[in-house]
Amino acid sequence: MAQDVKVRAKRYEKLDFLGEGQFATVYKARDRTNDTIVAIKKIKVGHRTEAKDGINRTALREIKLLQELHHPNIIGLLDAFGHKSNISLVFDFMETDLEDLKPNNLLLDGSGVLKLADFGLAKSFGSPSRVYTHQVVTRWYRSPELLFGARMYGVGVDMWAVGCILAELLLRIPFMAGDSDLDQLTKIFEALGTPTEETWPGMSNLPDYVCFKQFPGTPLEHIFSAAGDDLLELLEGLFTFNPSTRTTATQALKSSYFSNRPAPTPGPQLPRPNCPPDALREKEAVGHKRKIEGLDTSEEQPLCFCSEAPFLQLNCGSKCFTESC
Amino acid sequence: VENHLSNWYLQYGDVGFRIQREKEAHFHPCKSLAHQPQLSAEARCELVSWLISVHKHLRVSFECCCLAVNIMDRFLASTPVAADCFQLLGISALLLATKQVEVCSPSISHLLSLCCDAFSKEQLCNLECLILVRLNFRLAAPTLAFFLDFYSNCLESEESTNCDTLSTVK
Repeated sequence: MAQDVKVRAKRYEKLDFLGEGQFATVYKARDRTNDTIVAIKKIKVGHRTEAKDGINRTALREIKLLQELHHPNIIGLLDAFGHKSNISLVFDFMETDLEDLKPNNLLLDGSGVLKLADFGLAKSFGSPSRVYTHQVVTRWYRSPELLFGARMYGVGVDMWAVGCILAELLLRIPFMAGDSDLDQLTKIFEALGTPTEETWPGMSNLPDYVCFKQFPGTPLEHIFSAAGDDLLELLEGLFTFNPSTRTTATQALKSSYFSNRPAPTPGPQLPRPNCPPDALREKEAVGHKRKIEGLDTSEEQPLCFCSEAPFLQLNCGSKCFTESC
Repeated sequence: VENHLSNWYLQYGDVGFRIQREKEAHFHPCKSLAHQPQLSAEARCELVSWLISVHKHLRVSFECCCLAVNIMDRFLASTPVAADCFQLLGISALLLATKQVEVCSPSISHLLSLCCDAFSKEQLCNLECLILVRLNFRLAAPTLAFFLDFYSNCLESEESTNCDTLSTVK
């Protein structure tokens, strides 16, 4: 095994430090076998409590799920290797920063394709849950049933999170940003109105249920004044209090918002960090020529991530872009 | 919990069954004792019985126990194990299984005490890592517990609804 680890570690050349989270440190690295750029997420074993329990369970679950998931919109797990109680996960390199559904875990690759990341708290769907932990999902994206302590919940919790993300995309700030679980519920009810036993049967039987003041709620069209009727209808469905009648993913995809005009911007034309739309249009116009000259940057685009990247200079206009190429 | 489970089977049972059935072929250990000069079928049987009582003592799910046995068997198919390390393998597999399917894992010191402290923490952690490497981090095996639950739920709902899957299997 020691040999195996040595070989694995040698395979990747550490290039850059990318960031640090609660559970992991992320590095940019080069895979020597095929000369591609990857992101390596090294799970921390710093805490004594964690080292005490051996291999990090969150990392294990993330690996397990990512191994099974192969989808264009899910970040690809390329490799996993471990030594003692350390685990490193090797991912496709993404431009945007790195279980749960929140904007930080939605990444865009070089072609503007959305990828979900961070499955440390995710759960397989193939078998039923007995008792789940309710401490899942970053608070702002947590559904009311989770906040009321529901131990048995379904895919509805993710659809609530989707609603919160959609709302955040519209507002450009988190929609309901509570600073405690109770405050979160207050924020939700202030915005959407306090639910009743009629609108949400079984609510008062949840383990951590507390009676709230009856807030009337604000009509969604007043909060999202720029949203059209089709989008408001979708939001309304996602923010349904009763988890069993909340809009499902299939229903959401069938909603008119996704078929009405205008159609979404094709991935490669989406603006990217440090890469304003003007420069992109410029690039597109000359894209063909650049490709011929071998200057098509699809390989290097991830470089946008670090500060020395030539793309950073795109901010000052097309002249720099030409020069940097 | 019972009600919630049968609801799950009613709503998603067929999809879940299909997923697990497909996965089964990739996770099924074959001839786990074929290359084990020091281990007999009796010894394996004894270890599995011990794991059953340990999982009850720890109050972890039957699913977790089944997963531990699967992890253990697949490791045995890959690596020869000395007779005096067999119990350590059992408890390491159980630790890995709890990390997959339980909300909380038992502490390593508790697990070691169940083996009468015959092994050290370092030995357990090293074996845990070795299992992961040998199994290529693949731990999402479908379990006996799932299929048992699925079929018994089918039987229960057979009177009211026609359970196609079960009749196909029959």
